Amino acid sequence: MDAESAIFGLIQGAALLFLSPLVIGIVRKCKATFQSRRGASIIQPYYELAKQFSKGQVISRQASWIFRVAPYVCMTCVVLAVTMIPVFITASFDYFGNILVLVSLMAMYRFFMALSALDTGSSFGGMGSSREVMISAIMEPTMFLSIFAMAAITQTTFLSGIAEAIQSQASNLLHPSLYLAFFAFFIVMLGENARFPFDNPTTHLELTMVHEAMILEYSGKSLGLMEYSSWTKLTIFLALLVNMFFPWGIATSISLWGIVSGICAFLGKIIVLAIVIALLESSISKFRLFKLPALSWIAFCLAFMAVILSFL
Amino acid sequence: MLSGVLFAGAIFIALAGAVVSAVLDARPAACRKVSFLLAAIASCFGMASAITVFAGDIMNITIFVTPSLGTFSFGTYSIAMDGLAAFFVMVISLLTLIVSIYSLDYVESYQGVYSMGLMGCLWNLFFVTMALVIVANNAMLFIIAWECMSLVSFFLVIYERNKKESLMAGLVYVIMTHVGTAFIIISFIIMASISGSFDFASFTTPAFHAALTPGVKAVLFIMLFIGFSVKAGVVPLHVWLPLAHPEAPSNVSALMSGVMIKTPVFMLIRVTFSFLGIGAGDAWWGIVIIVIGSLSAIIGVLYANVEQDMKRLLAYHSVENIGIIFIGLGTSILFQSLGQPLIATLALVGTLYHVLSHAIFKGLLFMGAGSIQHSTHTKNVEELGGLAKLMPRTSVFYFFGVMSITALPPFNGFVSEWLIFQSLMISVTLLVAPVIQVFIMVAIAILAISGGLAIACFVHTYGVTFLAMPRTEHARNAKEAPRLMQWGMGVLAVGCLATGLASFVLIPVFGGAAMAYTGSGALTSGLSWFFMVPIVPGFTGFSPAMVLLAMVIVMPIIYGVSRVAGGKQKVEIADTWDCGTPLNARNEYTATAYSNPINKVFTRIFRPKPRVETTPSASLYIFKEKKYTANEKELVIENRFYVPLVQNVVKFARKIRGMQSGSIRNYLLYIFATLMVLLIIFR
Repeated sequence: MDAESAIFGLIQGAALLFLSPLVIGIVRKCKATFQSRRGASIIQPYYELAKQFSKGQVISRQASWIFRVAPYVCMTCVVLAVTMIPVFITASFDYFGNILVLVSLMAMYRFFMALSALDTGSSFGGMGSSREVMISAIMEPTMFLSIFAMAAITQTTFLSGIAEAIQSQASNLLHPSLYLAFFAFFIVMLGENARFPFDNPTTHLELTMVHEAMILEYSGKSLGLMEYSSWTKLTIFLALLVNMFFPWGIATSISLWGIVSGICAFLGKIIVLAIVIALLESSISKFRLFKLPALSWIAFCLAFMAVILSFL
Repeated sequence: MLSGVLFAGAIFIALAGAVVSAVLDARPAACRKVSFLLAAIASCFGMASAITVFAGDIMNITIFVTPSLGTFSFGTYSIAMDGLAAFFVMVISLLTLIVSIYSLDYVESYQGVYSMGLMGCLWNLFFVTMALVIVANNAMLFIIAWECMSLVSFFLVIYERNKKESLMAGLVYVIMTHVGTAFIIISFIIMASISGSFDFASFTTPAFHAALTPGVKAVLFIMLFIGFSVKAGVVPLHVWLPLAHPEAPSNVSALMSGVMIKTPVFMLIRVTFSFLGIGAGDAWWGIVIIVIGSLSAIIGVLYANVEQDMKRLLAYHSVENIGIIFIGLGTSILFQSLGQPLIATLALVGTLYHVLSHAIFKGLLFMGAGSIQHSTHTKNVEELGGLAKLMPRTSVFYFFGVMSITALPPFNGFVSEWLIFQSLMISVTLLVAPVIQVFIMVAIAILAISGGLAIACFVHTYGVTFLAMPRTEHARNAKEAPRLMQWGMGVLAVGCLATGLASFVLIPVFGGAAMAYTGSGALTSGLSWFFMVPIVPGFTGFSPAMVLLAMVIVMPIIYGVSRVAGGKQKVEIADTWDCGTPLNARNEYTATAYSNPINKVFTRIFRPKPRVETTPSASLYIFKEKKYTANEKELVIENRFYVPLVQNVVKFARKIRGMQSGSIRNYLLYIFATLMVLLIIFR
């Protein structure tokens, strides 16, 4: 908690904010390739954002102040969260607190998004919102237990501390509970970010959409903010996956070589994960909503075993 | 000594309030104003006395020495206030003050319907008895105060005595609470027979602790735990809570749920840490409390999710939050027994913090529910909607409460749940037996899922109540709450945020109160202006104030950037997309529909029963009419345990009814037989 970590936190946060549309672009491009389509350019999401920001906005007459405020709150939550994540160096903005603060910022994001969905009085919003809160509620224990497993291995709950502890001790990288917790958290990531098999991010079919149903009534700049914040949320979870569980290549001290290799390693790992997501989305279908608890049980058991193993 | 004077002032002013309101019963308007103002003034004195104790004053007042009957005596009736008691007196007084202000307007709707003198009298007495429960320093005095508190709250629950439900709820409450009191009385008598005195001071002596054999200690713990848990309303002893809270007037629910159900928490801390003493072999106490707490947390929040009665929903959330408080308390006892007093202190601070947080946000939410009921005459969320536009201030205040109870940063609920999470997670830095570790893991998982479900629950109640369009005439005609009710809610809404932000001030204060019980060193190892790092450096450290500051800075930047980016934007106000059918309130998602996914996922717990009724139809074209109904949930604990229990008790009573023949000769025979038996046993 010094000036350096504050500066690095801000730089890394800005980098993540800047990169998040690109990550979505990569996932979409890979998906298109796997499905034998040509697909849009990987920088298409930037164009989409630009388009949404230049369009007019329609606000529902039935909506209250929550609907207007929610996009800004959601964006604020992710902006605060990105500064806490170590990207290329194990220093980040720790002034807010440890990883539990990050988790509750994500909860706040979800809370506002789910409320804004109810605000317009449309059935779709309610439907999406109701599914979203159910899915995230059953994913919550898994998320906390994976964090608990990491805390048990690294003896800390600060994100930069976790990354540093694992990076600086090679034996930690072979710890079995690391892998179990990773897979558990991976499933959490899919659930929290409305990816397959929890939700289809490209669907607009009333009966199946979850995330899309919630932001259905948004348009213009508000829609831009909502989409941008959800892309950034995905990037946050991917960054957590790569740098909390496998911080290979991350710099532990300030050196030019370390930072360069840290950046390369981070980008490489994110791209690998993006390809994995695209592969998953091209090879399996969305689950029925009430099959999802089974998947969350699997994730929970993985996380549970991760914690048990971490005490051995 | 100053604190004693102030405290006596609080008691006497409230007693005066009780007397005056009884006298003024014939003039309800004056009675209402005088009684609640006196209660408010009394609670100010209560707060002042607590503050003087925090500032280092010592309070220990002997009221009177009971006359001894031979060798037997009830000891000295005295009242004392240490840091922990001061904390609870503070919470009780704070909430009484604010709810009294709220009640000045709220109770007006009862004027002319029910007796105002009764309300004012009971209200003042409720404050007196709760304060006395906390400061009582003698087992007999405590039991008297405790019993009075139960009775006063019982009469407050059945205040609307023309409603059958109120009477039923009151009956269940008074029976259950007396079963609990019975356990407490028996335990205190056993303890007094060992220590030779009813004074609480005699329970804290080393001689008393040495005289307790492990077996007796275990029995005492279990009995006291059951006794106090009934009042706290933890699963499976919670059944009175969802009945009593919705039926009581909202100001009473606010006080009962906000503070009365916390008095057993205070006593449990006192009993375990101070009276019985936590030894190395008592880790199972902590485990028992953690397990019961986890059970309450999950069951409470699940039932809250499928509830449509706004106040019953809040009552179930009280069950959940008491569960969270118990998890914190259990963790504290566990670590104390494992010889980690510092972590025990941290957990105890988390427990106390949650007591405060819950008092503030639950008081606020019950007052909000009261305001809605006051203006719409319904507490069924399915009949509401669109209140954010009709009751803008209430909606904002309620929103603050919702943000707190769902543990969002930087509100107080977040700070307290965070502290409890931390103290559970710190267990990884110690070498704890794997069995214990598994319980800790389960507690973490349950805290996590109940957090997620609390969000689900409050999104739907807030959304269905305040957002979108009004569903019924009731909601359409809603008006903003009267001024003083707004003030009451507003102060607590600010309190939700303030007690979250001020954690760096409050944690050391609570730490001081907790340290006296755990015997650890000071909690904070590094306290800079508003960032705090208690105990294990890698584990605890957070700053709600910093989070808020960052939000306040970042949000305008985002607003500015999005305004500038992409140029000026045309904003149009239009109806929600209606798919071509006229948009009305029927398009909205209902609370039942909203909670349905959760109901389906947890089918094993809710056991919903769909029923299809088929009736032959008179129509030529339709052969059968099918009517589909479903009851959403079965109250498993009530139906599987309490109903058979009551049936068996009644059956047994019927069987032995023959004894009560009405003939005096038989009764004399019973007396004679009893006397003989007693003479043979005790000689």
